[in-house]
Amino acid sequence: MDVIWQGLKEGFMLILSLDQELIRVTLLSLHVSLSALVIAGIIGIPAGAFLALKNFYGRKLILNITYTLMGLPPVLAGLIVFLFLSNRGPLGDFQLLFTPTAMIIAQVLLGFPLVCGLTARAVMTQQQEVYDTSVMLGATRTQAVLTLIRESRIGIIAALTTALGRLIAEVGAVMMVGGNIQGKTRVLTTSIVLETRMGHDSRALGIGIILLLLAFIIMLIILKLEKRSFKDDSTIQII
Amino acid sequence: MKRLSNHKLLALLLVLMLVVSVFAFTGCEKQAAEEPQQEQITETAPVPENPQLKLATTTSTQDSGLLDAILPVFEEKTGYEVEVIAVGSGAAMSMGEAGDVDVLLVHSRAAEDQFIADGFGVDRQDVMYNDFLIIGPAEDPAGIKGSTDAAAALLKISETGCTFLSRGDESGTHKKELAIWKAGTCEPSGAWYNSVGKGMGDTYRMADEMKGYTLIDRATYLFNKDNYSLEPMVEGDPLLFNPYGVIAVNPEKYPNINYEGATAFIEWLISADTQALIGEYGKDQFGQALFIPDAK
Amino acid sequence: MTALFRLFNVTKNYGDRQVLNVEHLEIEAGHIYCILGPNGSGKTTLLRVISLLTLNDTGKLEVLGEHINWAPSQLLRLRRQMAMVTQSSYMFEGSVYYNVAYGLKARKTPEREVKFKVQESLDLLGMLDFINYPARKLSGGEKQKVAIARALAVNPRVLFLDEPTSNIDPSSSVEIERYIKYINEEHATTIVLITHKLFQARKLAKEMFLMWDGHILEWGQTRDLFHDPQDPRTRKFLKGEY
Repeated sequence: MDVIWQGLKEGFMLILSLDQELIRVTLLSLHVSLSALVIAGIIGIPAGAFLALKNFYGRKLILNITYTLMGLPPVLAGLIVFLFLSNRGPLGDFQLLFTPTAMIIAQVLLGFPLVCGLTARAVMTQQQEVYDTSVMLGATRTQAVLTLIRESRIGIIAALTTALGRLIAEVGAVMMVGGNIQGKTRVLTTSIVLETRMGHDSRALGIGIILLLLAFIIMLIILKLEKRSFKDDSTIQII
Repeated sequence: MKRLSNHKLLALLLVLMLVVSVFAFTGCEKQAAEEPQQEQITETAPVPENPQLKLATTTSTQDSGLLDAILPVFEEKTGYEVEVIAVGSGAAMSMGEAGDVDVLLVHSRAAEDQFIADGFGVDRQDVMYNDFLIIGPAEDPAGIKGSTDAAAALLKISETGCTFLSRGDESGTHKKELAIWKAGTCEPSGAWYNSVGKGMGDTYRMADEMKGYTLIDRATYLFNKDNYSLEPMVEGDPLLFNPYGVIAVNPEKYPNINYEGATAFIEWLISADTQALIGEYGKDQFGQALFIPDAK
Repeated sequence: MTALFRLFNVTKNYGDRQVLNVEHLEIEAGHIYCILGPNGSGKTTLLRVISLLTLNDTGKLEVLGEHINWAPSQLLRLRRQMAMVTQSSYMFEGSVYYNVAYGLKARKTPEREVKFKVQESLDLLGMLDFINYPARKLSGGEKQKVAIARALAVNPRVLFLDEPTSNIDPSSSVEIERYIKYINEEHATTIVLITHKLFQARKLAKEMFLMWDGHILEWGQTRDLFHDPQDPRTRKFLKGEY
């Protein structure tokens, strides 16, 4: 109990102290996970919509693979990226290993199946009538598909928040390809691992609190944005 | 109708997988628990009251393969089951302070003395020592190859700004590295100095990828060197010697500690047979011993 | 007068079930046509085929004077001259304005004209007050009126109505029937209406088709059909015995 109390105390002290090192670590966490989320979104949303709407040979298989990869262990994603970026790997010449770029690549690998799979599901739950309504109002095929995606917003935003939660809390991949180098690739989660290994349990707990707060704030912002775009959305009232 | 039965089949399959996994798991545990007992009957080994012994140790003993080589002998002989928690020396000792482990095998002499002075540890014994070496890329941009002065070599690395990787995790190795910097009156910092906060094996791997210098214990180095391209640069400096000690966690602080097991482990570790075993370890594989026994 | 829609031997199967088999049908411009028939007789499928939403399996299909080859460019060109309102119209997430403007924006209409058109068609249906209201929070009757406004905003030559009043109360129904008549008379819009309500057909339609098991059982002037049905099944249906 002492350690937990101490950790809570230390966490708030850490926030109040505006520790330079910690600010850098927090900003890098944000930078890596948000960049990965944006990239995963940019390729994952169209890919998911495509999988949901286009009928082609092997579509079911690809969907199933995507669903499976939604549970890709971060360490495995990290290992794969590591092997590619390593000096002995095919992309070794780019010298990307142990840089934030490598961490973003690994996290994109983790986030993409999640965004893609959940987007596909969200779009697939849309009814034929959405498409019919758009084309009967004179929409081109492209316009109608964009409308379908627009109408799936709730599901897609859920996909993005789920992915963000996974990415910001993930340690295996960023540890592996980032290397947890102080001042260069150390992020909140790898800091927690390190502090724990060094036996600084309360400091680790403190950083954990910062991580949770950060996640909370981001989710709050997303929810706010979501509310703004859905001001007309009816909520279910349970009486 | 056919669809429905298909669904039922799938659901059944899932449940079956769950059940099988649960049984397999508990089955394993049972077997593991029974195994030493069987051997006790055949070899009439003493029956320990509490066979679970938790050992916190540095990553180097684990990564070097030493523990894998010698612990089975101990387990066979005494019936104890050793759970190895391989962390940095710092974390190992803080586990000891919290009473989460029974016995420590660490290498950080100053911290060990403090640990005992604070009343957390008892019965410290010297076990063995190994030595560190500085390794680096074959091109040797800092020009330190062949030197036997570790402090001067590190100073040169800092002056030339060559990539250096530090464990940065308050482990024994990290503390040793800091001590060497201090001996050269140099405060390491800058873009060339990478504090990676990882175990020895991972740091080695990273240093290899980054073509940087790092301080490494001989055991980990020998155990992994065939996989990587870094070469030895500096060795033989007395500053690089690294003694390992074994410490039991003080049973007066934590009555639940398996002190009996810890004592058995310490006695076994410093016994002549085991010391010989440690002295032999690595010779057949690497052509040299990884650890030099020095129990008194 | 030229036929807007002409079908010869058009069939549609779902699996091994034939849902549509029309040997011959012609719909001319300018009138209100009613498709009647029991549930599952193929009314909606027929409507979906002539509105180019469902591909027919066999037969010849002419829409707005063109032989249909299902090329996307042809579909787009022809669909932009039609509009549809179904029994529970899908409302896009967004305001009433967004919904009514949708078709105009798809056609890249200039912003000022979009505003004008949206207001005009909402005004016609007495829904102007709801212009900024979230479309999904409207009542069933209001939704149907918005759906009709949405369809009218794009000035269609043909308006398809698939049971537009079946989910709403009688007074709203009467109101919507009035709009249907008005649209046909004032805008010279051809209207193809599916309905279950015999009195509605009688009140609105110039010609009607009675469908049965995917076939067109009988086809003719509404008055003639009600007074002197040829097929015994038509007689029974129009008496309300089905």
